Amino acid sequence: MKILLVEDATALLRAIELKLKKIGYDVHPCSDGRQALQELDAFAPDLIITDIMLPFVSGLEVLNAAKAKSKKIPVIVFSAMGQENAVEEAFLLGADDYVVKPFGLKELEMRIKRVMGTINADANS
Amino acid sequence: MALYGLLSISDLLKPGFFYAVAAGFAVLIVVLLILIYWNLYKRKQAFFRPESFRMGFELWVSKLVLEDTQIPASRIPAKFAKHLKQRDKRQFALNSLIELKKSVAGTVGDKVVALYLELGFKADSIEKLDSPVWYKKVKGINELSVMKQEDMNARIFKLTNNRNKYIRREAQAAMFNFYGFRGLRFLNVLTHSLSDWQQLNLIEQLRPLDPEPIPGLSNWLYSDNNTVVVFALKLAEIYQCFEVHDEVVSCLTHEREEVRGQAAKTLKEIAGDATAAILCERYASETPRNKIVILNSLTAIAGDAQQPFLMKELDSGNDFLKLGAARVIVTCCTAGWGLLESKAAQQPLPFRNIYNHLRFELKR
Repeated sequence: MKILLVEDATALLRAIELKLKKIGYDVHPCSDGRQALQELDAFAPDLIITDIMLPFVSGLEVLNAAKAKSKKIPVIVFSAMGQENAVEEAFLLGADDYVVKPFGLKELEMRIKRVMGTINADANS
Repeated sequence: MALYGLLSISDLLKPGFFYAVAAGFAVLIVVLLILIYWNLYKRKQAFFRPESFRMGFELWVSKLVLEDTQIPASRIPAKFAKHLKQRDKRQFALNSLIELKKSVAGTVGDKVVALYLELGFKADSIEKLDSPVWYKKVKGINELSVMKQEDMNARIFKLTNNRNKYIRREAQAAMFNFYGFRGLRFLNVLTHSLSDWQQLNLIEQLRPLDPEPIPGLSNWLYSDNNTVVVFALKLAEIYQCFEVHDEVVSCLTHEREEVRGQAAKTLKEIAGDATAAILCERYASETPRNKIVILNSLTAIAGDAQQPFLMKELDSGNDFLKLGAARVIVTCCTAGWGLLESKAAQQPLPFRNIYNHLRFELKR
């Protein structure tokens, strides 16, 4: 599964990238929204994980562009505490789930699986 | 002058002299271009060298914190150890860890803290804490707070009442970050004002915590510091601290308008049987602003017993207060709409408008 990961905090970006690669996902990291928009077509992700606050182009714009391209691409957004309004807006734009920072990488993994509907599949296999 | 002495005017006008000068300028321009290029090259190198260090460092940190084993100091690669002796790169690395710790929780977060300690960054943070320069001190407090270095609490606690508002604010947030509600004990000693912004920040920090009894709340309601009283009233409102009802009532007679207003607002959330009557009693002596606050609170807690008082308020001179009183009547009194309708029949202006407004407002 191909995941487009968008996060401007590069240390975090790197850690999540490694974690997801370790699990077996094909991860493409982007450190700003503009780059993410370019990668939407080039990388054709199955899932997008994006921070809301990004340089140049916000995570909400990335979400909007992804949903405009295909409503079927699931999107998980990262938010900081106190960004309830932005999270609400993200859901209105079609976000599938959100994770509040600080979060555990295990939690992120579970949310990815839930969004992709693979938890049951894993359990059955 | 020497050159002028050697050359006559006619020599200066010869073509050979012009060629020599032009050649000299050309050489000068070439030298300048080389210098500019060299300067840009050096700057580029200076930009990309820390960038490559950062990328390498972050990759190493990410790998390390995702491993299942503990982090021994001996595993720090020599190339990083060498770089980390330089002040700017050290700060670079520390910022990366701080950034990561702010975003991740659980075992990975704990490993980031372990790495912070292994790399000796705590000493750097303490050095900043000791600095007489305010922004360095703030940075030091922030780093220790993010990395949960609770053993530094005594030193940070002393700064919660610092005369510099930025230091004070960061220290207060750190205490709160360490101990949650118990960290609010700095309110016992705070003599400087707690700005609205800082109050909002603290309330925002409290939000994810499970509610628990707030030690010291009743004392803060009697504080000499008005901003502490207002903040305590806000806490009592948000966490519905019924146990301080009587102390909040006593704040209705406070000398400061904002304290009285906040007390009236808080009482809405912790009201008892007699609260509505108490608010009605205080109403007459209040400022117009606080009268509106009281009427807003009464909207949630008044009953038929307050009807005579409210009917009297419909005849006050201020249309906002009339509207407020009418709102309480229609929401809290039996047959409130009928009372307002008959008032509108007797005195169409402004009561017909108020009636229609409330019909529209409460239908939404």
